[in-house]
Amino acid sequence: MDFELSEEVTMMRGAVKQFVGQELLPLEREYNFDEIYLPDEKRAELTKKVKDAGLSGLYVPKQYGGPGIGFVGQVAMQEEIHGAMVGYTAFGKPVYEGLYQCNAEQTEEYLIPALWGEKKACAGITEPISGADPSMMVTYAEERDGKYIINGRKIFISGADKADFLLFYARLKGVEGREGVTCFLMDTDLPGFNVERRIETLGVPTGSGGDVPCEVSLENVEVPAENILGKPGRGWDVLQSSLGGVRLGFGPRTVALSERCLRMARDYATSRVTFGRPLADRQAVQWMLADSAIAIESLRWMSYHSAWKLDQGLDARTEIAMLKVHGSETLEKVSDRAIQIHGAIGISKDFPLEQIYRGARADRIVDGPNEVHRVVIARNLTKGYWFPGY
Amino acid sequence: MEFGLSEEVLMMRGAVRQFVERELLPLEREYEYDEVNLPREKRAELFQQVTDIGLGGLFVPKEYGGPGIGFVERVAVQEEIHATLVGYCAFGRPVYEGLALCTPEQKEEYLIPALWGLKLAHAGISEPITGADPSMIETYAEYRNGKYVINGRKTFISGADESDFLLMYARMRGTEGREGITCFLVDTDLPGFNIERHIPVMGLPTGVFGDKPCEVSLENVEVSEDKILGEIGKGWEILQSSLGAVRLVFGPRNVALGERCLKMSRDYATSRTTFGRLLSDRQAVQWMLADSAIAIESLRWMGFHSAWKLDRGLDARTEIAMLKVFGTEMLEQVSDRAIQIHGAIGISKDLPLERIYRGARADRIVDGPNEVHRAVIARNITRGYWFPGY
Repeated sequence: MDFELSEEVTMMRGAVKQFVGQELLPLEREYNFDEIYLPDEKRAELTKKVKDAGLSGLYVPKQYGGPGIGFVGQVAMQEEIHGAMVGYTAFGKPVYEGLYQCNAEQTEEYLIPALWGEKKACAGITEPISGADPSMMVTYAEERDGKYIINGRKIFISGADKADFLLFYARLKGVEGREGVTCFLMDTDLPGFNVERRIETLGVPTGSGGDVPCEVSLENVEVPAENILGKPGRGWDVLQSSLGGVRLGFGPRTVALSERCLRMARDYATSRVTFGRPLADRQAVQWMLADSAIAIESLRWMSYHSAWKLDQGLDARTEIAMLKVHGSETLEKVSDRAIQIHGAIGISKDFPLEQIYRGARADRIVDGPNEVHRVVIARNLTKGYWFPGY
Repeated sequence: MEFGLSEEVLMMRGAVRQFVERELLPLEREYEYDEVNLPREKRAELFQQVTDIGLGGLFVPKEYGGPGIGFVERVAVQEEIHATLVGYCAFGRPVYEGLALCTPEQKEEYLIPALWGLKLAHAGISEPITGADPSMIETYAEYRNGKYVINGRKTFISGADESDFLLMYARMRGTEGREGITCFLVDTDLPGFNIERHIPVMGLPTGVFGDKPCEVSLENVEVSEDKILGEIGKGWEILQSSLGAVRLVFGPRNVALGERCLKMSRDYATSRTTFGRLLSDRQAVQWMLADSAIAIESLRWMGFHSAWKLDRGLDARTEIAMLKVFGTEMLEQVSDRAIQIHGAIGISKDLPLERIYRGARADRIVDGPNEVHRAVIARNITRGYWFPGY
């Protein structure tokens, strides 16, 4: 049992922390604590700076030229990277695991550029009719002369307006349920692919990296058969493989943002005076600080443990489901307490707190609503999953 | 970052588990799921059995002839030991760290016998007038004719009636507050030391080795100078040093009992039918299982992390305070859900659940009420304590 990070990871983490402190945190005010306000040129500039600092490709596996720090290393980096609310995308994003099923040509064209941030990808799953249950999707594809003609509608597709391509899910016409679902690598510049509008929401999820949810329509979009990821009618497997290790990010991200809220809460409580005493003198406030600290501490090690399991090649789906639930709900509570401690300035946009709070609310829904994850945890438990299994 | 245990520890843990399953769990029914019902002779017999299989003195440091296992190993082993509600005392008890201050003679007479379970020791701190704030104690000692004569009253002293000696805290007569508090090693067979009564309680805390809380009075109890632990007036430091590492057990013990409740819940929910469906088919029940699992998982690694810090000689007082609060509140919630899932048999004494539930309620109070620990956590945070400190 060892809770220390390797020297390599510790050093890299220190470099990331320094970069975040020097280059990213100073941008927050100007861009309203929100990644979506960062212009593409600025992002490109930061991405280059990250590259010059030798910190590119943190999420890229060794076989594709990345530093190969494993999931534990990734968690460690993300704990630092998500200390900033603006510019963290300069470090790239983990790609959907489904992309690892690319064949040789697809790897060249899609996977590798996505890994290195040269092409931007997103997933097209949700439709007006189905979110949590993708087996109900109605967007369909018909085969014709070696191409697939796709018609339908998708909604809440984060970043569709900026993506170069989508992992697009549609069903083979006439095939119901999971059996028909097929995954297409769809370039967004194809005729018939329209981004109808950006959907305005209460808050953008904390991991969306500046991506805004969009509604898209597809009118006779033609996709070559070579662009099927996996096999026709086997898209469900791709769907299930995605959103696993990527979801791991909920751990370090919610830890980083929660720590930020707690630190602010502590600093404010120890300096703000009411009725002759600092806020921190009151037990009601002390209880908030203590409960936030306990929650963060409990979340942190779940996060590393899940990552460690993945690095060992062990199944960690139940742990990651737990992490998603616990992380999102922790962040919501911790940010809520932080706002309360700050009083009115807590809800003002001068501070990042209200944005984190709104983002945390969205986090309980996206990437699998917490209800779905609770069902998965319970089902795994009743089917015999148990803890460490020593 | 490593979440596996060494082979050696796994073997030790396996041996403990085997003993618990073969020798201790079968006793539970007979002794009504409560260590307190185990007769002294039976305890001694089990203690000997543990020694015979080479697991004696697990908590004894190397310098006193024990295996000298570290804190991580201790946590790993305690997760197994506390799976049983009856007989866990067979493995011995960690002794109060304060006893490390014993002089060579005191070591022979008190520390070493206590370590090896040959003498039973407890602490006499609480009084009718003061529990959480020991600086208010009134029991006093005065020097008279070459001896220290102690008068006063103590309450809620667990196991005073079975102890061989107590670490008795009294103030030098005339002193106030923390000054003057002195720790005396008081043999319980001294004239003037009286066990007034057992205090009946709702439930004994989950880890008290069958000790009953007692009210004791001291009427001119005479102890010689060589019975002072440490120095006169320096009892407060001893008080603070004790109950630190010993409290680490709140991690593994609550994990073990929490797992027990969850396992029972899962088994019952997957077999009990109501209105034509299994209980586990209902989301209300699935939510209970999932939330219990999440809480247990997050507690487990907090426990190991705190132990790991201690093994490294790092300060872990804030972590251990968090562990105590989180562990006790978790067990209360998990046992509460387990009872609810079981319906009426959940509150019957045929099952261990209600015993665990009552014990968990007591656990929120003993060994420092959770309020005190929250105040400590908050105070440490406002004074600059922060997490891993990478």
